[in-house]
Amino acid sequence: MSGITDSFQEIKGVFRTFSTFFTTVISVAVLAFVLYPIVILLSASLRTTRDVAQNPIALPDPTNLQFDNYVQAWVEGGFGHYFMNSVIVVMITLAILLVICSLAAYGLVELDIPGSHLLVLSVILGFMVPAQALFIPNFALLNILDLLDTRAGLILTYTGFSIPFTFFLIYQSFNTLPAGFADAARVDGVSELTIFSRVYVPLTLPSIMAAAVVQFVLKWNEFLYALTFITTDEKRTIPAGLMQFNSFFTNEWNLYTAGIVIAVAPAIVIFYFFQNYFIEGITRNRVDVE
Amino acid sequence: MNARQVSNTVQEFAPEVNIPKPIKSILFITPLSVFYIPFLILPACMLIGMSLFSGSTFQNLEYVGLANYQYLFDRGTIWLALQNSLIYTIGHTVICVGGGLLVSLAIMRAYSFIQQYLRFLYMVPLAMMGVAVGFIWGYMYNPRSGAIPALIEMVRPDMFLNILGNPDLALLAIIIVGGWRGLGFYTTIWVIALLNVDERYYEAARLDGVGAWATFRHITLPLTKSIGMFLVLHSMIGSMKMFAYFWVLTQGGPARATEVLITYMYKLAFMQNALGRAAAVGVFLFLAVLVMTIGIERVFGLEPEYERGVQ
Repeated sequence: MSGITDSFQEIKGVFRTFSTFFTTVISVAVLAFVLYPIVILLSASLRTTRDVAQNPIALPDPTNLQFDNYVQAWVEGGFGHYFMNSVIVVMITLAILLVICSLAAYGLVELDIPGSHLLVLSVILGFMVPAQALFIPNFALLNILDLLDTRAGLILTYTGFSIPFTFFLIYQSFNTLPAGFADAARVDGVSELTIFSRVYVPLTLPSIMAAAVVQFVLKWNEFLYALTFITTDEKRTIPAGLMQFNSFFTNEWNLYTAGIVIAVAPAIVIFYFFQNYFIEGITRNRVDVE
Repeated sequence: MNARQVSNTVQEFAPEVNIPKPIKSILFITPLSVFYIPFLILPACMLIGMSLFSGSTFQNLEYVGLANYQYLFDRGTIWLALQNSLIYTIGHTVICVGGGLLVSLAIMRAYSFIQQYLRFLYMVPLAMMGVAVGFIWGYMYNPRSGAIPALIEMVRPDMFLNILGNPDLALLAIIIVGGWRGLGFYTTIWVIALLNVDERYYEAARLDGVGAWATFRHITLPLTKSIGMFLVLHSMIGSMKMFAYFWVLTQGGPARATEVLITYMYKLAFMQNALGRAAAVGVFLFLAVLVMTIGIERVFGLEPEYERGVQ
């Protein structure tokens, strides 16, 4: 009797090992599909122009890695200033966004503002308007304000269309805090601004971080506005610069791939350290308005 | 630290200022309004307004009523662009949401390992900017030097494939690019949603002798329906708005085979200087996204929800 049970256990064990093996194979296959183009990209960026032209998809020679490609892309390809412009535009946009959205969220959650429901609703309705649909009127608006071809124009329009997402994430998390927190402080005569900055912001920091990480990645990668609103090369941000770069180094795939690596690296690094915030930010911010 | 302690410590820093409460509360929402009204509400209104005017600069604006829309419908390119956008959207959703579900069901067991080491790698493409993704795949598809034609050549040496230059293949090629970018991310979200389902439901099903398919159909699907709807919505709306790979890879060609709403809008605005017509395409895009959102909610039959999500 025990012999039968044993062999049954054994079969079950084999089956489990097999299915673990099988699932690992699938996960590795998906991973290979995802990583293959990235490996090719990194390889090409570390080889010489001639080498890449002869065999575009070979791995680099480990004894002769061309790190010089990155230096050339940074200096001659103009990636130095594209990079700085992106840092300036994205960081200022993020700073403005987080401050105005969290202040407003506090006002709407804690203070009795007449018609606050309508305000919340109007911000949420902003979700329904894709930034891409607004790019023609934004172009006209910046033209009227004489802000075309300025980084300020890019910052203002980025801030505008990022408000609904950022506001709503912070508003939701402020809403989950018990009202007693603020009341206790208020009884003691603490000002609203202090309650906001010393109670609300610290307690909801994970949500604010989530909003910041998602917006960093989205704004770092934004292409349509960056391509059309900026025409002077010195003011271009990375996504538009990459497009420019393409026509500059037509056949030098090694420099060109090095430029791509520089362009995507910051968002990937941020994503690596804050991936849980990113997932949280994207999935929690679900607004369904009918 | 509780709230009272916090308020005691912060009291010293806070000088008492007497501002009447209504004004104080309005001060909190003013900074947001300063950006929100001119850079979101105003452009949204301008979008509709501009679609009723013609003129290439702002000096020669002329009210033309619905003539811009008339033009779009007469030319018919708008329908082609809408059709391509929808094909791309459906392809992306099938690969990323459907494929992601299958992959996630398959890799649930391997997931503790993936969770530790591979999750980040799965999601890397999503963090890459669309322009870069476009260039990487342009390199992959390059007929002379790309990896994909090289792979095809191994199987069929007689075939010379210019994939992106072929009207029958170009859109499919871009759908694969989008799938590549999203698959790992959607898989990851599905796995998180599946892991979130309470183990006791499966335990109960097992005790009752419920089969694998019935368990999936009556336990897994209903309990992950809300995240499923979110993923479908995210994928579809994201696809309708995609511009970068289309612009980098084909610019809407060959022969408009990959013309989507945004490439069409871009061309009208900056190659034909027809801002009014481009704005009309923008209105079209807005309506398409709106209809899609409402439609998906109806199909999934979910009540509006604000706070449930992946924990």
